[in-house]
Amino acid sequence: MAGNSVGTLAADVVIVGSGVAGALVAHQLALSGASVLVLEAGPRLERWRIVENYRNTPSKDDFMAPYPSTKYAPHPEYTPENNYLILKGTHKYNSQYIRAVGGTTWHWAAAAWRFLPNDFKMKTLYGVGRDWPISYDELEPYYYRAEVELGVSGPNDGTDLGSPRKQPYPMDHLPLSWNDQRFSAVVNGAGHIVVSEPVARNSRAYDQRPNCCGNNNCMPICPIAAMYSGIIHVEKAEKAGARVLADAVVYRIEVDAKERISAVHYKDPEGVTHRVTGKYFVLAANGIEIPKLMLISTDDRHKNGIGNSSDQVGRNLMDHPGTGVTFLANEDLWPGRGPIEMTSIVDMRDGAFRAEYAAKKLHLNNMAQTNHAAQTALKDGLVGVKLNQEIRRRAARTVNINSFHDILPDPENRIRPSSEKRDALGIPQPEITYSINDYVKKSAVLTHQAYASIAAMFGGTEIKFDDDFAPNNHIMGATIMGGDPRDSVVDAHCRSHDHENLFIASGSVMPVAGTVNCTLTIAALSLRIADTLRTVL
Amino acid sequence: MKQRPPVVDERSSDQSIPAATGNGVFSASRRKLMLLAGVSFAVMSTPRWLQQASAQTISSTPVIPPPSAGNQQQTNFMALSALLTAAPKLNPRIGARLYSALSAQAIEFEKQAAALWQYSLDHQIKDVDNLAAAVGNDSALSLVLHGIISAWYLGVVGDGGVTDGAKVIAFEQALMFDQVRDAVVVPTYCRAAPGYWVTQPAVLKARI
Repeated sequence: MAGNSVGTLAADVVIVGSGVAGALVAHQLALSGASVLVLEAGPRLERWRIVENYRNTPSKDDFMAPYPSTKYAPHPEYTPENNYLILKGTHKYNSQYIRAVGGTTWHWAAAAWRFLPNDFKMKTLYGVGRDWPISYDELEPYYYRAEVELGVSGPNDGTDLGSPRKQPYPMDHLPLSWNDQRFSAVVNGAGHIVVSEPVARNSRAYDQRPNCCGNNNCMPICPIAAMYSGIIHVEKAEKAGARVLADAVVYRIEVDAKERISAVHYKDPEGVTHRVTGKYFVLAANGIEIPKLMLISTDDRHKNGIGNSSDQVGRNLMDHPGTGVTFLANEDLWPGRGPIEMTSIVDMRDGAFRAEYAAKKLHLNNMAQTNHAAQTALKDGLVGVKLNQEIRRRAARTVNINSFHDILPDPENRIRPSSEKRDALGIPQPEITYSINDYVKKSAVLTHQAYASIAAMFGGTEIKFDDDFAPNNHIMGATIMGGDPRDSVVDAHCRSHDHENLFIASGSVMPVAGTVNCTLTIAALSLRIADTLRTVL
Repeated sequence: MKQRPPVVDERSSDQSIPAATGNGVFSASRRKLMLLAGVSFAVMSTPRWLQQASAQTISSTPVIPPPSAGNQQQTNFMALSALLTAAPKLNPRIGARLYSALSAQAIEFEKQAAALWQYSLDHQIKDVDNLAAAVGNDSALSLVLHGIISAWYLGVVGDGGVTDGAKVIAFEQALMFDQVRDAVVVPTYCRAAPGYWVTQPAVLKARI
């Protein structure tokens, strides 16, 4: 098309995006002998540099700070705000994601939960939301394969996490920190169930990576790769023969007369355009960038974008609206020993109440509070011995609990390409309209009460509630999966209803948000996509 | 608790953290060594094995002179910092960088820091509690007093480390971590064997 287009690349499978989803598909198919090309919008990062970026940023609470946005493939930044996401609606969907080789799992808490069987049948059981076109049982083997690939450690001691498993976790869970032990001892039995979280974090040497030694920095960067990140499978895919091209910003999907995808087009950082052809295409570029890309890929026959005959592309955007509480306990708990998160409260994840209000999961923060403690003590004007004692007291006694609420898919919560704002390469920025409805708000009132009751168990003082519904960067729903092509974007195999050779590997296919981090489900679905593609390649 | 590892003594395992991946993470001790390589004044107070390593590097590295005796301002700043933080020893290199960053941040800083030091000398005040109480009514001196303490404790110059204008001068050696080093890690600087976290921290009563 453009006069400055150079060359044409080709592969059996072209994957847009190199996070955990794209990297898993690339690795699986490269192992099968397919030619695989991965186009990643962002740059290649080195772990040691991210670690140094973290140590050198004054914004230690901003997990995006060690990952500076590039001009050519911008991602959201908040200190200061770069306003890449254009936020509209009653609640700001000020999400984080990383555009870089390896994707957003460079920073996460590594929580690797399976969904509950009932999460797959919300409409049937509770009359709200949607059903998945697949069951938990169909996904179960893929959940296990994902756990093996990512290296998940979890409770093999008989703890019931509500998601039946045929195999034990690949690794036993890490022993709980003092903070998590005390929290479990106090809160368990007082009307709640506290469990060890399954996490993609090594409790022993696994997959040529070391076991966790408690750097307490899973977010924003594990310095030793004891925690899984997408970069692990990027490197495995490359070893297996896949080619990964960084700095390749895909901005257009091309469709042929038979409604097959014939090519994708990308711009390099200088704005030079390139055309890439392939037999099969997998969009794995994150739950916001994928629908944006589909919506900006218009032509005479696809005026509303690619794969969008249902008009659902960009709609049904979900996350896990979060609320939290922070207080000082009446005993020294010392958060900050071990990994940053180890236990969750799981007794509100399912039940008949889901017909009326949102289910949720609560989790205890085990991040070191030294920095917050010092800032507060200094702000109070303390000096000398009193200052030192106060830092110690607050660092030892600060309790912070957060939550994920299940939000229902709502077509009005949506991503659109901005008609006004474009990035440096001239590509429209994502505009997001979002609101939180009563289904979540009703539940959050009860979450607030649960926080208050837990605070009371610890004789909590200086109790501060955070009822803001902060997004948790679990970007889901905007290319929703379903059995009916009229109201969904992809089928049960994550294949576009409209384009036979187009697949979507992303949280954006998920029809239900549930109450747990979506990464393991994304990984399981991605492995399933690879299986489907293997049968046709 | 079935995986409970043998109890490790965190305080005795401070010396080195091996690089655990091929991703280029330096061990903390190697990193320190590299930092020290071109800095001659550090040799005086470092252990023998490090002195040797440093000495080998000095011949091929341009020598950065120590803060000159003539630089009375910086010497006074270190003396003032010692009074304000009561820390057993302050890193002079961090002190020099803090002084320069604080001076760059506020045009009046050097004058006020000098005034605060002079005030402590004039009134023969030897501890921070009395100094803070004494300057309580002088807002300029009080601000500079708390500003210097905050910079040493957080390792950050700027408004509390919240906005873009703030600058990190020290991280691992920020004084806030000295208050909790026996209990929690400085994030990214693992100090002990896996599983250290299962026990209640041994609290060093002597510190408080």
